[in-house]
Amino acid sequence: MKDSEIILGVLGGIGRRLWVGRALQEAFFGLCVLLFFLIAFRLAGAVQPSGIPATGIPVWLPVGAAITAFVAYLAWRVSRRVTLPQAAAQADARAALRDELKSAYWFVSNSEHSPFIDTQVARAAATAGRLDPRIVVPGRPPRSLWAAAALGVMFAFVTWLAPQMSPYWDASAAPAPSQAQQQDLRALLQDMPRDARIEKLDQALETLQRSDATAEQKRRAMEDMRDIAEQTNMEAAAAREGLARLAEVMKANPKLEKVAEAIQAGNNKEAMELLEEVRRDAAAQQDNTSGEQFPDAAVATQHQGNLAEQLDQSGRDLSGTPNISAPALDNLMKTLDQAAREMDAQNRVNQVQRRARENMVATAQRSAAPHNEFGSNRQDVANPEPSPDSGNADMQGASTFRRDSANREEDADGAREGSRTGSASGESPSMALTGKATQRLEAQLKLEAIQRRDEKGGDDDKDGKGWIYTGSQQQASSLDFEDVRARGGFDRETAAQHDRIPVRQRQVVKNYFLNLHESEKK
Amino acid sequence: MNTVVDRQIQVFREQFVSVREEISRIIVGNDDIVSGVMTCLLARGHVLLEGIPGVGKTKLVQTMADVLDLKFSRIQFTPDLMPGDIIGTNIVREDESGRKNFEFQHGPIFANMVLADEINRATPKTQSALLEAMQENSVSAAGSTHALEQPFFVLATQNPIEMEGTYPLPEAQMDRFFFKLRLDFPDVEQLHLIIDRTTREKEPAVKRVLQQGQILEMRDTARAIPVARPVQEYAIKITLATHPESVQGHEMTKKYVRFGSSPRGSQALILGAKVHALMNDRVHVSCEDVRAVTLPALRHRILLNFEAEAGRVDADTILQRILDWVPEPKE
Repeated sequence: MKDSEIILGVLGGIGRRLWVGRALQEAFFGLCVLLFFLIAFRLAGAVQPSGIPATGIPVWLPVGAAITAFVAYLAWRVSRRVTLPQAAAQADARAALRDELKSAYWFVSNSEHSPFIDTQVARAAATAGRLDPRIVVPGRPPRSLWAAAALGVMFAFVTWLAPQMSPYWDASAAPAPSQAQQQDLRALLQDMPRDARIEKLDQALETLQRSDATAEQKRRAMEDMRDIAEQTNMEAAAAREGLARLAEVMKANPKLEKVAEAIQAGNNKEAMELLEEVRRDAAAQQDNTSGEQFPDAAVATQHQGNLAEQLDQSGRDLSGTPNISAPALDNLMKTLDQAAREMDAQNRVNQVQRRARENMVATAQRSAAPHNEFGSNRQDVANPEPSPDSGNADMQGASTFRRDSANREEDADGAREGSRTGSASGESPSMALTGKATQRLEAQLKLEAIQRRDEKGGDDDKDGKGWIYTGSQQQASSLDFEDVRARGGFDRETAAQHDRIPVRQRQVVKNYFLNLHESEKK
Repeated sequence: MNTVVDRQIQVFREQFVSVREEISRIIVGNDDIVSGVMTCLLARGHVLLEGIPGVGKTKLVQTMADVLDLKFSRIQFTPDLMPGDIIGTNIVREDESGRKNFEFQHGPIFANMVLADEINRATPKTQSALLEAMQENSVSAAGSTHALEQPFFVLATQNPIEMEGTYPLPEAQMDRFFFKLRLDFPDVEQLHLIIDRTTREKEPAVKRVLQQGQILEMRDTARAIPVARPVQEYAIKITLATHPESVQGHEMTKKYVRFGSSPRGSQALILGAKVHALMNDRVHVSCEDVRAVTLPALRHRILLNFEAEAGRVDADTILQRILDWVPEPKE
């Protein structure tokens, strides 16, 4: 074999290996770029604000064009073969041949001849014959492979993590509250009278329980539950008002005084027992005074209308007479029982609604739905202060507050779980008490008494001291803070005026100029 | 394998090494200077030696003249030296018949190896007489041209310290020197050797190891070494990098250089690289050979501007940056 053939053969083998290595490098480089953009796309989709399309032609058309252009560019780079001069240069560099093969290839390709050229080519052929292309160009994995692997791991991580990061993550994909939890809630409603609202509440719970329910359906179910709870609260509040009025009427009757106290204390059970005693006493008394009819025997045997009206009617039945007719008592007891059941219904409905909301809110920490989807919106917070008459407030948290304050029992059960300020998982309940805090006058002001001189006090000055109002410590501290905060602005304003220097800096400026002139004199 | 060429190369290396070893018996250190001088001799160039007094410039040339079987002459340049003192002059001779005629008396330049000591002390007119002979390899006097015997090799020395009362060589004249070599002050070990060799009863002597004909053959051998185009392009890129107006000029060149190297610089690079390749038993010139001779070949061909002088930037620094910057050919 001629020297030139040997050299060209070896260079060809080295060139092929170099080409394979470069092709792999380019391919993995392209994979790195692709993974990089996929990761960026994934992360962008996770934090994407609403209004920017994530799919569709506006997105995929330029993306597809960019990908096509990039793939074409990569294909072009890979298709470029390694030329023999390049292979010679690489072989010289890697094997420290000092341009031997490069020079020999040039002489061979340009057909130059001279004794020295021939000798050089012969020597280069001998050197090339000793070269092993596998040693000159070892088959190591390209560096871009490791980068691609790292990006691949990162992509897998982001793919797993991104949905959970996204505020727009489909809530329906979130795991639903456990079946057992939902069954517990429905069990609370089982022994309740199945009126329309309980049926509706049960339907809402069933919707929440279904795994195939969409986010919209769940949202509507929560809204229904909230409406039912509000309605129940209103009816319970009306019942309480009726009970309060009834208690006032009953106080006028000595026989019913204790019953009134029990009702006012919220202890319906005790009130019922006391009424049972009163009925027994009334029955016994009737037996002793056999045949005497009570003047109000013509009272209606059954009251009509809603609970509040029934309570009012019971109050009318009991007013004006020390003797209580049996029908009136019966009606009263029925009405009280109904009121107790109404308030029990309120407890249960609120408990169900609160627990269901807790379950959904806990899993919806990662959901796409804003908080107001579950019925509470910070911006829509109404007056959190409970009504002094009914004890009701507009906010759910206030109802919690109201519930806790009106139905306080010694043994706390699940209905009383959580703090009085509301559920830990919800946002609105906690705002009921801490939102618009209004301070009483005496909290804002501190009363100080000073000794009057040469004056005799009036009605409110019995001990000879006058009353003045001074700022409380809180007010004084806030004033100090305002003063400190304003001082910086004052300094800035004065400093901005060219002909004035802030007072605190005047001495420093004065010293500076004095020293400046001193150094000039020197 | 071409045995003739291999034999030529082998002989070249052996003779080169023998000369270097023989010179090293007298001259301590400065192996690269000796190699540089030999390179110039074999590349048909001339050398400008620069160094402080007493570092062995004259001794080196004298030793080389002893080792090489060449006619040696020394010219001490002084301000009153005339061109005729270098090249020779016509004198009037009377023959037996009483007829008078002019006879050209050869000057000291008519030697194989000429040492022009402190060339910067002579006037420009005298300098030009020498430089013309260096360029033309001949001397013109009284209307006739006298060829100089080959090999004709000039080693000029220059004292960089005493510049007062001197006539620094103009850049155009500096360009005629193939290499500019700098002799550094010897280190401690070298000083010990110098003292040991020169302060004893007998100083070591050298023997002649190379004949005139052999030097001419070595010159031919060096010129026959082939250079591939990519390597030649590399040498050209280095030369162009010294030009501030060139697009291939280095940024330091554009900042500190007034004029770059002439084409003689490229010639010096290639010829010097050829000898360097032969010295390393190679039949081809590589980029490494070009880099090895860049500094001595180009340092005296670059004219620096005032900013370089003010910033104490010398030509070697610029050339080193250029070498680091110009990439080797990839194909």
